Amino acid sequence: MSKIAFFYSFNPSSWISCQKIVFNLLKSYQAISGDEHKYYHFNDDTDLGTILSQVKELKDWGAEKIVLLDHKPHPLPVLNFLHQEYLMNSEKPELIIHIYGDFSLHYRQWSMAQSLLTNWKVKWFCASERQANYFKPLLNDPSSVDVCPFPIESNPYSYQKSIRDEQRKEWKVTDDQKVLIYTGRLSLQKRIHTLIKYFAMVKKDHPNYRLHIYGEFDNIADPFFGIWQPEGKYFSDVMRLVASLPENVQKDIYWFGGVSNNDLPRAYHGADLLVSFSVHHDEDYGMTVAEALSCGLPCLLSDWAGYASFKLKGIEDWVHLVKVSLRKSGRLLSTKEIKESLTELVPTLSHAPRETISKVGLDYFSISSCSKKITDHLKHPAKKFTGFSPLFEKINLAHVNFNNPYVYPHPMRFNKLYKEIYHPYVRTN
Amino acid sequence: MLEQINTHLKSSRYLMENSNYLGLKRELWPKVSGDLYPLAHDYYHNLNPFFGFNAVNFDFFKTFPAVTLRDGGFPLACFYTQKFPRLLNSEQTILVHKDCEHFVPGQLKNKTLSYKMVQPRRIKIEEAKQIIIVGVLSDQMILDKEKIEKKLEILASCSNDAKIKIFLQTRKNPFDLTYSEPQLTSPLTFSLFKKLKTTPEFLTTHKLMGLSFLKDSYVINLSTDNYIISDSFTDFLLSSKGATIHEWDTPSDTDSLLNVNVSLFHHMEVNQIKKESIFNELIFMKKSSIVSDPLYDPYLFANFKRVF
Repeated sequence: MSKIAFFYSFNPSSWISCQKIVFNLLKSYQAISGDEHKYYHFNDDTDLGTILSQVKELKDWGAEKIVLLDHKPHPLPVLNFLHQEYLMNSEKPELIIHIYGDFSLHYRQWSMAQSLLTNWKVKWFCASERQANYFKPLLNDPSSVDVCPFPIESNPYSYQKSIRDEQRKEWKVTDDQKVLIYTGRLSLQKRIHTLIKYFAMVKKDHPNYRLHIYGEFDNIADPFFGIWQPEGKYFSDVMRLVASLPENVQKDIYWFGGVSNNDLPRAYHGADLLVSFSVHHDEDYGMTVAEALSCGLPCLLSDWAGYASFKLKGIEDWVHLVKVSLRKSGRLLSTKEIKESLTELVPTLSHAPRETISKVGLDYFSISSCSKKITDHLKHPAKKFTGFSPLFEKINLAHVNFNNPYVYPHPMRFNKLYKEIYHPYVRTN
Repeated sequence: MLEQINTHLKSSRYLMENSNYLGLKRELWPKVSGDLYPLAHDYYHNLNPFFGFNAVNFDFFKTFPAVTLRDGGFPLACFYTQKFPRLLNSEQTILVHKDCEHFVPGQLKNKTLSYKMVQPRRIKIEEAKQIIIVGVLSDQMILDKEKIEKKLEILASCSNDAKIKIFLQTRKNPFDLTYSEPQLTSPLTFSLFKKLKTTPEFLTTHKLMGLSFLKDSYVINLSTDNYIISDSFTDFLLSSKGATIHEWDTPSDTDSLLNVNVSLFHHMEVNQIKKESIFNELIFMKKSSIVSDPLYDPYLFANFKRVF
């Protein structure tokens, strides 16, 4: 039995996928029987006095493990007070830190935290194998990194035929029609323009297919590549692309806008294929894909970062990955493999074993499954933090000194540093 | 004119795609631009939304075949009184907000169109699960406080269960040459709170920007009476997430000259200018002003209220 203290924001994150991730991770810890828990609210509004009293309280309580569960804000103030309070204690609690995609936005803060973590035993959790492959070279001791996927609630994310029938009736979709679906942010790095072009290719052979797009446009653009966009720019670009397509393609693209998390399971049930060509920095996991698979939905994905983890044993035929190459000019999706999916995956959707896909998915992502993974990882004691690696320092310096640390300007080209850091995100063969 | 716009839409000559746009010296823009953040924040659609009061480098401004002016009546009047001679020789098509179209000089009517934002899908305030009240207030920005009081009466119709979120920034007078304390906003805020049925949540700019899934939300903009800004960034942002904007309409029954998609949930209707111009009266006001720059002349400002 362990005494575990958790730091996270009790208020849902503005980052939609993280709203679910944090609370599902917490449930995974709560499912471990026999542990005692204490929860501490930590977000942007938490003042330093509150954090100090939280840290004093958990020390008096005798916490054995401290879990930093959330993706933001950066836990620097918490680490600072932990460092002060436990300065004279040779026995310190273990720190368990879940790494999210936004790790790459906080190199400077992590660099500042380095001295605070000295003498602490730290276990790092990444959400996918490829994220772990990206993260391990940033540490002097890569063996302190484990993989724990972000969990999914089995209810409502498990396949039920009745929900599918109901949703398709609401959409007015007949049995001979197939629905391709995308859910998530509508952003340049999510390659919505590639998705639209892909759908136009699908329509040539399958006039009955439709594309349903759920999500809101944003202006994040591609800052690592030095691309800035005002609000509304990407929307206008995508609409210009849509307007250039034949009428029969345009009319079968349905825009639903943003919908609440409650509406998504039904949409996944009703659809026939999830398509996402995202090359987003940093797509550490892909909560959308995990949810879709748990609803038994076949997937066509870019072979990029966390997405690669979804080609699970037993459903390999129903998760197609399209190769991404790191070129100086950007992240390029393989046209050949996109075209292959048109003949290998798209015509076979009627035969998808929805229940099997759902079962295999949940065996891997469900809260109980993740709880078991966490239990197994926690059996091995954490190791003393030995600092960030020279590669980490190199990236940190690049971020401190340059607005666009990964590109050569005029014309924009990715530099060697970019490839050095992000090569674990792509397939090598 | 319409042909020119269509040619522009097919071309790639867009203001914000132009690398020069990022390089514009924003420190030359009048401080009113920053004082009204986030209402005056940049956003994009295919007809180049821009503020006339930021058109410091007119040679750069006029290179774009079509520009939508987001200015409200007061800066728009200043824009025309200052730039009129140069606009006469320009081939550019300018779009102004429908409520400000009477400031366009008669001689420029053949180069100018009017626009308004419309939402095909709107909800009634009674149906809203969330009411968002937005405002950047200062004495001089509020043309008519009775009008705002009247606008707030609509809150009586909202459901008792509706959540209320308030983004109400009190800023200094953007037309001040020296600092003065804002005085009107406090009574107005007090009046607002009397009308609320539930305890509101106050939004910071950061939280406002992070709002999403707003199809059940109804937005009341207290600072938009088209006086300083006629096309606010906050209205754009919240509508692009699905919210209904109180001040906007459903699409017109009659055909408009052109519709331009601005977000998934709203578009811009473009039409010919219909109102009579009052530009000559503006010229008279400018001539009788003792201050060279009417944008910062509070006396002229008081006069201006008569013609708006």
